[in-house]
Amino acid sequence: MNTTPVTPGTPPTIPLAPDVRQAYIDHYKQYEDAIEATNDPDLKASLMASQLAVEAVISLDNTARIQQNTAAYEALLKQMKTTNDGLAALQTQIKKITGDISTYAGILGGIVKVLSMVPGI
Amino acid sequence: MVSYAGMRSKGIFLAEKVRRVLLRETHGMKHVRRAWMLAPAVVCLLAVGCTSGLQKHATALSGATAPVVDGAEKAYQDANAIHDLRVDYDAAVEFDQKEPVYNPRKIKPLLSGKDMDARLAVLKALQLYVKDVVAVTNGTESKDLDDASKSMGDSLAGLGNTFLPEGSSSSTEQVTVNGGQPITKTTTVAADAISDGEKHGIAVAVNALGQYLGSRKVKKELPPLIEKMDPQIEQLCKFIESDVDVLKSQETIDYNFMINQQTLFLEQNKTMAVEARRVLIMQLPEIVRKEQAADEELDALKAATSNLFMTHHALAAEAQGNNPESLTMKVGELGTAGENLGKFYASLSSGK
Repeated sequence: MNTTPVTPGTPPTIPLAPDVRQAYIDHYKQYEDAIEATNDPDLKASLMASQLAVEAVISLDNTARIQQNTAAYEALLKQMKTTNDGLAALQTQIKKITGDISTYAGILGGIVKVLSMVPGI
Repeated sequence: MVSYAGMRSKGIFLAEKVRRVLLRETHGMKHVRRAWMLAPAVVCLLAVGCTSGLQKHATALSGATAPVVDGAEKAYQDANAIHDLRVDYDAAVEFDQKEPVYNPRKIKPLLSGKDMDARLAVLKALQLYVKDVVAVTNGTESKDLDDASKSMGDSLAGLGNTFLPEGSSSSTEQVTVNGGQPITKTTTVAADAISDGEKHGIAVAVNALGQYLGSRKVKKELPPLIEKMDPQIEQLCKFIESDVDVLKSQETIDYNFMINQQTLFLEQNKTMAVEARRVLIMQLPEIVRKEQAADEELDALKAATSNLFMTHHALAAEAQGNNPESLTMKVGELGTAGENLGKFYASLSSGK
């Protein structure tokens, strides 16, 4: 159990520091355990309202983390594109080897045709 | 530690193995000359064999990539769908509140279009990378190369037959003349200087040369690209794992909210129509089943991501030549490479 206190009423800085996030998650779970343990609608409604405030902070942090990752993905995409361009160039070079063989075969075929027209060979 | 003498004797053993494979394809000892014409092909194969380790790791990488790409795409869509459902439950709670006034136009998805696009673009780049690595490592054996080699074999044979003096071919048969004793008759006819078998041998050698040149390019150019990509794959896997943690957290929150709201509604409305209440009660286990399924999907995605990283790392190690099993693996692969060349030879002989 995390010992970082969750101060009610004070809006935390988002994204949360890992220990603060864990404290909110622990706090949320305490509410959840209490909600699941009661079938008194009034108590349940009251616990759920309190849990909602904690949940809002975690959700906000989740959204911030998703957006942080989005920026990281965008940066990563640029790097991956460079590598993929290198691979595409390599594929072209390999195809060129086959293309060269075909070209030389064609040239040789042409030479044979020309020579066959020369009498005495 | 492998000694140089050991490596040399291993090389001789490999050359002999490949030669035997090729001899098998030439259907008997009378074609020994043709098989030895393929010696350059054997030498080239020694080099080509070195890229087939990469090919195996690339195939493994392709297998490890599919669950990550499919799983991640589904996880993002599912997380949004679950969150949308939670937003619907929010609407039921917030609709009658006086402050703030409920406005459905203010709803937001968990992952925005921009968030989704960034992730899907990276997954597509990953797919393209893996597809290209597989294509490049397989690229030394291609139908185009087979066609080009055959064409080169035909052209070189044509050139030889134009310049070189004709050869001769003799055949011997037993014939019976007017019911008498059988006699042996030998017929000699003019033949091309370059026989069909020799022409095929040239094509195989050209094919091996093409594979050698291709594999030399791959060996030189591909490892730096794979090594460069390795930390990027590591980063990608970390981002996906981070996403999984966030999605898991949000899905738990969303499912708890839906279950708790529906339970509270049922507890607060015990006098509602029995059938309608019964339907809502029976929905509760289904919500939990969906939550468990979503949780398992995210766990599977995390495991697949870890596997992707390990598989790519093994490919990078192979590319750097750090894999101690490589030499043993290559010994086996060289035999396979020889068999592939033999198959190409057989396709020429059968006129395919």
